[in-house]
Amino acid sequence: MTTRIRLIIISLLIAIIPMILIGTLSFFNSRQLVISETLDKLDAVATVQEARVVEVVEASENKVNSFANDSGLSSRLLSYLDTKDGQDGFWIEQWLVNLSKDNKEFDKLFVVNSFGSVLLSTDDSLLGSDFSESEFFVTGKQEALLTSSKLLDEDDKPILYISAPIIFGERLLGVLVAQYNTEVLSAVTKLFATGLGDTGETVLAAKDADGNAAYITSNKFETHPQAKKIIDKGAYRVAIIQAIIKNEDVFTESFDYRGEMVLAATRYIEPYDWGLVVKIDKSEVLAGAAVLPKQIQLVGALTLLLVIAFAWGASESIFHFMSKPIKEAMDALRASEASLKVANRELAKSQAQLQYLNRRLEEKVGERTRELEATVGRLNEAQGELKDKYNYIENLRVLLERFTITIDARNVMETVLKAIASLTPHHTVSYVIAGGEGLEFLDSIYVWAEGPVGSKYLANIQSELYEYVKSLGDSTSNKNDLIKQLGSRMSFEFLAGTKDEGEGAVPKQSFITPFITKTGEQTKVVGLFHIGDISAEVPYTNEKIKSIRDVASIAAANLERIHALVSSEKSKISDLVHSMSNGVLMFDKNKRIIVINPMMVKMLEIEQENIALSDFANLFVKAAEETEEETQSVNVADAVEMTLVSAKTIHIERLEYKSKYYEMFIAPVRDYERKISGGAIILHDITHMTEIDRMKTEFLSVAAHQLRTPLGSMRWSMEMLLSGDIGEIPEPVKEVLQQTYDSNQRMITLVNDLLNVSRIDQGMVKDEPEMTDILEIIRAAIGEIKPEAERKSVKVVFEVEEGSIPKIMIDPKRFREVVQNLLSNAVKYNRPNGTATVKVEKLAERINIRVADTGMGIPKKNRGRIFSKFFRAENAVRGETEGSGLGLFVVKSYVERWGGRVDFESEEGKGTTFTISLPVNIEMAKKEAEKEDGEMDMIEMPVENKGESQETKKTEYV
Amino acid sequence: MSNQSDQPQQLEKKEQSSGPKKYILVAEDDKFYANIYRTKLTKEGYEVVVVGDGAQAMKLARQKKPDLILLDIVMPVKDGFETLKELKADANLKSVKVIVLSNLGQEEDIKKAKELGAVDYIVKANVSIGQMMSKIKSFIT
Repeated sequence: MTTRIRLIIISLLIAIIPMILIGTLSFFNSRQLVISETLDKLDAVATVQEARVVEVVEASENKVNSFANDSGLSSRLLSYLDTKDGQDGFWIEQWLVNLSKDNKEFDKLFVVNSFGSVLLSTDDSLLGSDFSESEFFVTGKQEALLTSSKLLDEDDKPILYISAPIIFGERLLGVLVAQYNTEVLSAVTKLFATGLGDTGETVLAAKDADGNAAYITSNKFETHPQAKKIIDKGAYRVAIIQAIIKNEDVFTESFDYRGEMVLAATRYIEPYDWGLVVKIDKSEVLAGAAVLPKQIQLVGALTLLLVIAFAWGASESIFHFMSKPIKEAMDALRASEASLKVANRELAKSQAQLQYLNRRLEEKVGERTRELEATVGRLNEAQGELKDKYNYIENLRVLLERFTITIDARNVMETVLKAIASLTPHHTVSYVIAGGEGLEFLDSIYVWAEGPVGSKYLANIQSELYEYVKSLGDSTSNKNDLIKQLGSRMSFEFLAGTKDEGEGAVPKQSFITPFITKTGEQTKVVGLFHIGDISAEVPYTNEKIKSIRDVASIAAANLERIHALVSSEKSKISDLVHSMSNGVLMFDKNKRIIVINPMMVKMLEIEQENIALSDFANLFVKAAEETEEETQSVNVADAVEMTLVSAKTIHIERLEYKSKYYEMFIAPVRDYERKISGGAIILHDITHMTEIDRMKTEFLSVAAHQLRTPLGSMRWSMEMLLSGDIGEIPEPVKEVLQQTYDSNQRMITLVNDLLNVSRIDQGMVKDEPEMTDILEIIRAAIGEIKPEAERKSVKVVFEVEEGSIPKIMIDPKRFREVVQNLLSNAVKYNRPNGTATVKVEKLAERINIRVADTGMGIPKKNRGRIFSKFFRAENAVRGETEGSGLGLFVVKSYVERWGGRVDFESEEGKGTTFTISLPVNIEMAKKEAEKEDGEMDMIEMPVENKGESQETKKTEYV
Repeated sequence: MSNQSDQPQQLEKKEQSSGPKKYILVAEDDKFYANIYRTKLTKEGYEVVVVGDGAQAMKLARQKKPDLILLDIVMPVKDGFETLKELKADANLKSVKVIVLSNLGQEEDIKKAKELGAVDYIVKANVSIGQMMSKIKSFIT
């Protein structure tokens, strides 16, 4: 019972102390919060009030200034000063009286002469008073300004003046002074008091002669018995004194004129030497905050009650529950410790045995694996080489874009044409640019016409040009080129106008002018203009022809410059292309070969001269015919066509040519406007790689054979021994034999797994999807595992909602392997009388296959590695189970290739659940995954295999 | 991935107690396997001849037409594929059923053997001797 009481006391202490702390803290916090919020508010109001006060005073200053500047006043005063004419004085006095009537903020108005004596006033008692020493007189001579006299009136309020100079010309006649009615300001200060609670107000004070604060306006609590109108300058805790001494701040503990404690914000109004305070009684502010502690008290009391009730109840149940099970658990622990020790020894023994066997087996396999890895390494190297090729293509593309400098030539010609067209309105102007090195691609006659032009006319242009070049003298260096060019078929491109469907008419009049460049004796024709006219309304004059020739000579100069530029660009490209180790061929959009590099010539074993693209394509057709087996399914000519049309890079995986293997890329080449201007063919020798590929396949095949042969014959031998085929054997011998047999089986499995893994690693596993009923496969796999499950007393359960799982496109063989591996693990690593559950369910776009066991589970620290090759969890290695550590690797490899996912949950000692999530549409998922991987916009052209015993390998480009 | 569930089978009753023994020709260069074939098949009541290469297999098959041929692939002198091709080209022998029993396990090899006319392809290490026997029985009638 004492313990119970102690428990109650402890619970109470535990509960109460934080409560008291919370209560106290929140009380102070709430006070702090309210105060700081109020101060913020006061500070904001103070800023506004200060601005308002200054605004009102400035408005009054401006008024006084305008009175003083009144021309009537100054002229009358001048006259009054000079002549002492009473009429003028009377007028001014009347004027002042009227002003004070209209402007209530001014109590009195008077005029002081330049010596400081009052000359004229609305208050006669002031007449003759001497204010020469007064501040308002001194400042009033300079500008319109409010000043306080430092004197106090009968109510102890400071007297305020606004004074302004009265000037005529440059002469100071005197000062106009207005005594300010401070109640105008009271209206301002009271305006904002409303937002500040009952006791909030704004007060305004000026310094009196002694530096004390004298309130300017009437205050809210003036009837208060202790209210003072003048605050002694030594009373620093009164907020207004802080304001007067220019301390602009907020105060949590200061006092007002009543001696009340207030929260205050202070401002110093510099131009008038005033202080402004916005304040509120602290007691009012805290009245709001004081509500909170009461609520806390209430909650506290309730909590206290609850704690006591809980502690009472808890003590009872805790006592019951705690003592007995602990004792039992301790006993059980002690007992199990002994048996554990025994079990551990046994385990250690068998483990040592197993490890020995394991080592022996794995040493053998390890040797083969190392050989395999070396081969794979060589293969990877070759693949790296392949990837580099893309850089070549990209370089080529960039360089070929520079070819498009010829576009500039067209721009020049267009300008020239416009000029000529304006000289010869209604005529058709055509030009052709001479071919030659670097400009072969200008094979068109460009036409600039106003309307449609018939085919007859076009034919006429070419024939006239042709006749013209034939008639050229021998001093024309490129005469023969021109004849050849114009003698061949040329296309017509319309820069303006269109082609007439009909024949149309031939020009009635026409003339040809060449544009030429001269080097010494030789002339070179850069191009030719043909100007023709169907109507012949205006005959060509000599002047007109001459001016056209001038324009043409400009064109010649420009074109020659471009020509030179293009030649140099082209030689740069040629250098690069020539030095490339791959065969390169470039063609324009008319499928004419522009460049062919020496490597290509060497690969094709052709003469460089005069090969056409169609001949090039035919070479491969011929090569295919020569090889005795099936013909190549890829037609290079078709692929070229496809590149030009689709603007995509086409990749032909394998071509055989003169007993070497090549892969071919046909890439589009674009001009600067991104239009297809031609293409490039790149031929890459993959003979070496194909050889490695073949070696690798052969090696795997041989390795498998060599490993399996001794293992297989051992298997059969032992099977014969065990089954008594050779003769009956004693039971102990049979037992040992069975163990040997099991080890051998393990070795066979290991070899098979290993080969499988090598094939996966090298991407050699062919995925052959077909419409598959996965449930059928799972049921078959469960059937296969049943005998082993029964031996281990493991129940295998299959859960699926009938008809819920559609057939999917998947490789049934691989899928079977995946299920077999997971199931075999679920049985192998289960406990006796455990359960292995396979559950299949369809989610929206996925099928989940769950394989759960009730076995040993996977230790936490091993979870990251279970999908690694050859990795086995620690408890799996320790146990009696066998395994190669490859099963889960295979599962993950396959599933991820199908665009699926493998997840698992595991609890040590409780079991593991593997979940395979497969997309319903595997093909689509794979394609999407590829899209993400590959950036190249490429079409893969599979090549029919030539019946050799190897796979066509898909090369991946990442 | 393995066939661990296949346990060695109990001794089966001898067949063919009556009538002439069926003749099985085996081409197998590995002497261990050769021994096993000889022992097991004899025990099962067949007439068995085991030769070490494809050329000898052809020779013996021509001498006496076997009821079934078990053919290894990797053999000296003449390998299994060539032998199979030759057997299928021989008008007299092309009707003889051939089971390829090899430790080559590549899909390409299996495909090729079947294309050449083998009735089955068995990866030796991956089946039990019992399974092998039932395969043989299913083709020898």
